[in-house]
Amino acid sequence: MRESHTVTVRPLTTWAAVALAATPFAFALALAFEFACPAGAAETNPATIAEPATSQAATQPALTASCVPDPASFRAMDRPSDNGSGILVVWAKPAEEPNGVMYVVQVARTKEDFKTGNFKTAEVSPSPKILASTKPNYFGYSDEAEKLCYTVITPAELFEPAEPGPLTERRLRELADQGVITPEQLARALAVVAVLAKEKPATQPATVPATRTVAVPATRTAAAPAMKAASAAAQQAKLTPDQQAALKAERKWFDKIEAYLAKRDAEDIEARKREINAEQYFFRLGVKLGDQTLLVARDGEPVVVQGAAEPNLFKWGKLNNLVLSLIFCAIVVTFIEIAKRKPGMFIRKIAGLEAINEAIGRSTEMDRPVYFIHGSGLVSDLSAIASLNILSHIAYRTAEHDSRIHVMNQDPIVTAVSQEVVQQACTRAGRPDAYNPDDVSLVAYEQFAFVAAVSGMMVRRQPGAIFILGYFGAESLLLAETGSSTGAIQVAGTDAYTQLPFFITTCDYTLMGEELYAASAYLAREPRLLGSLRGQDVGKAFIMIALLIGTIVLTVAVARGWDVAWLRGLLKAGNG
Amino acid sequence: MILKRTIPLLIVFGIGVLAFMQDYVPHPWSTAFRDEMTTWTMVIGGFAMFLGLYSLSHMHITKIRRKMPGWGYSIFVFIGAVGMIAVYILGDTIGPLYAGTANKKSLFDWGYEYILVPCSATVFSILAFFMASAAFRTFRARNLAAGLLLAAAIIVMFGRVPVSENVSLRLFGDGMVIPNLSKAIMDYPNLAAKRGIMLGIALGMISQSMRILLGIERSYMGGGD
Repeated sequence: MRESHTVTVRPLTTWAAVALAATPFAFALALAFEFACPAGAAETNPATIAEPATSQAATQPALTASCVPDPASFRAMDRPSDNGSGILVVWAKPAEEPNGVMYVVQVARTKEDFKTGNFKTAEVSPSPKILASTKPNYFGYSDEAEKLCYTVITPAELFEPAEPGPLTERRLRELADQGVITPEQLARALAVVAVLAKEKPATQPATVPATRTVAVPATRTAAAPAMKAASAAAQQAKLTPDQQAALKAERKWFDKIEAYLAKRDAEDIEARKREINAEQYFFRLGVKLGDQTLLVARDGEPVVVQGAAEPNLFKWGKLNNLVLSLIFCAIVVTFIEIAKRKPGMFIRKIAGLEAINEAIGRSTEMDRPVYFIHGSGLVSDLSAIASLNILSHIAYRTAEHDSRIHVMNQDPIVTAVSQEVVQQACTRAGRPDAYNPDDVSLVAYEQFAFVAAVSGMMVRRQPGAIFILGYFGAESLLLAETGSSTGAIQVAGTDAYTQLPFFITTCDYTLMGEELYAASAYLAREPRLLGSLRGQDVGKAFIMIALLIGTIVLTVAVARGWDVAWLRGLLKAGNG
Repeated sequence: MILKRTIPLLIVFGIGVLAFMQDYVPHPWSTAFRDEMTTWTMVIGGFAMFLGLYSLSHMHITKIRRKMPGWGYSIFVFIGAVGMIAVYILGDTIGPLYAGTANKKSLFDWGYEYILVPCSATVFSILAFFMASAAFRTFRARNLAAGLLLAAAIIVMFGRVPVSENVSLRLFGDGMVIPNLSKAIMDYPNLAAKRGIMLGIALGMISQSMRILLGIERSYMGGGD
């Protein structure tokens, strides 16, 4: 059983522009990456000589031994940093690669399967993409990677698990035997299957045998669905309305059972694929040109290597990301500790946050409410959490000033958390009676419905201060412009950098990106929180220096013609 | 205190660390954990939807009952909500204003497509006017910085319309001078500023996450600063 499958070699992982990795640590990490070649899980067979295996056509250039990869270089191993779905097959680039040549990787479950022909074949084009140097997170940055070719074999794609058949009577009975459906469900499902089976032949003309294949005129083909519908309608016409309704309900129920079983089947297939991927496989390698194929061989026998995929515990391509995240966390924690010992740490002024008290005070003096508008972020988004932290402070100040706050929400969970936050803030301010649950409500789930409702409320109630905080999309300008027209002091803050220009244009103060996250710590003035802010600023300085050094090093390297692929690799956000 | 602060903080720390590590672990266990968390989020979100509905209804009922300013609008909330729920329960009924023969829609789809979507589009279209008024206010050359902003804005906007090629050809003998200048402003100064903000956001996120994971930042739990 020979089947041909073309393997698509994945392109390079997207190069990250962010220079988080461009730090002095990157230089040290380079060494780690250099030697971060994966440990091969496969057992490889040595080979010495390549020999022709099949015939060659007279019209094509002949494949010679120089077109065949070195048998010693041919190996199979677990693909590193993956979930156990891929096996890397590696070989040395041969001395010659004639035009039109393809590499063929034959995959079998046992060595004997090669003799019986029970194997699958993957064809690989010899493009530069298959060079090992294109995947430094698998092969490192050594010179050897320039001479190696590779492909990824996913066994489950070659040895696909059998798809379960349609939901026939037999399959339903099997599912009932397995306990997947109850006997009652089986009886109902069988009844529906019987109805469907009766309808099916009715849609085919009785005079045309099922096996006969004839050229159907276009008009008849087009009329087929109409005939089917008419037939079904005719059948249903014999039923009373109650019977028709019952039949419809039963079909709906059957559709649900079918959908449930399809989901279950999909899960079974995924589980089976994982099992298939986890098995041991045997590989042979060859080169193919037209109908000629030469297998990599030793002593006249094709070389067979063995390998298996294993789930890995770490994505080595993200090592740089992890190390830098941990370093930055360490900086933050260090400054938190310093702040605990030395309170009164200086933190730069943030105008937008300084203006919060002023805005609340003005609102109180004017006897107008304070509006707090949440963004569209969910409670799992950091920007929403940051907004909630600021809300706590604003609600506290508002309660202290005996003013009223209205909180507008787009998300139900954010609404529930906001209610709790405002209630607690009122209690802390010694005014639990100031909390009114109707002031903190879900306005609308839809983006523009939310805009319309909030804009209307702003125009009608004329708030004295408006805080627009969180993640925003197109609604940012609509809200801010309407707020601006009411004459209220507006303080906006978002981490959606595309919306920042709109806020800067229309609001009195804008918290740009990181300032939104710094806000709660800044407002609380608690030493530990201020320490984290200082750590954040130090991290920023650290990145600026690293960017400068990285830019200089890369510029000099390009000018001098140095090979700094490893340095570029450190700047790359790998996923594997 | 243990129930209200310690246990929630421990849960936050544990789940937070696991979610952080999940990004670095390709093992199927890690994927299973992520899927499980996603399911939990959906379940909690489902329950929260009821809370949201309660909050929404309560607010509008109070408004109507007390005849607060603008209470008439609150009636439309219930007309819309009850109407859409009713037609969804009714099922496959075809919309009353539907005149075609193909692509028949249920009344629910009809309501969504021919009421909600046009209303949303109407609100969205107001953006164009707001953008013009915001641009008018911003692009006044009051000082050097505002002047530079104005000049950059004119080049970028003009470089992105086809007529800029004709003007560029007449003025400089090359049709791509102004479009290229526009592109250069977007690709270099603009991108540099954007990346600076993005880096700041990334650092702010890490700092905020650390404060939350370590239990230093607890305002979101309603417990105060």
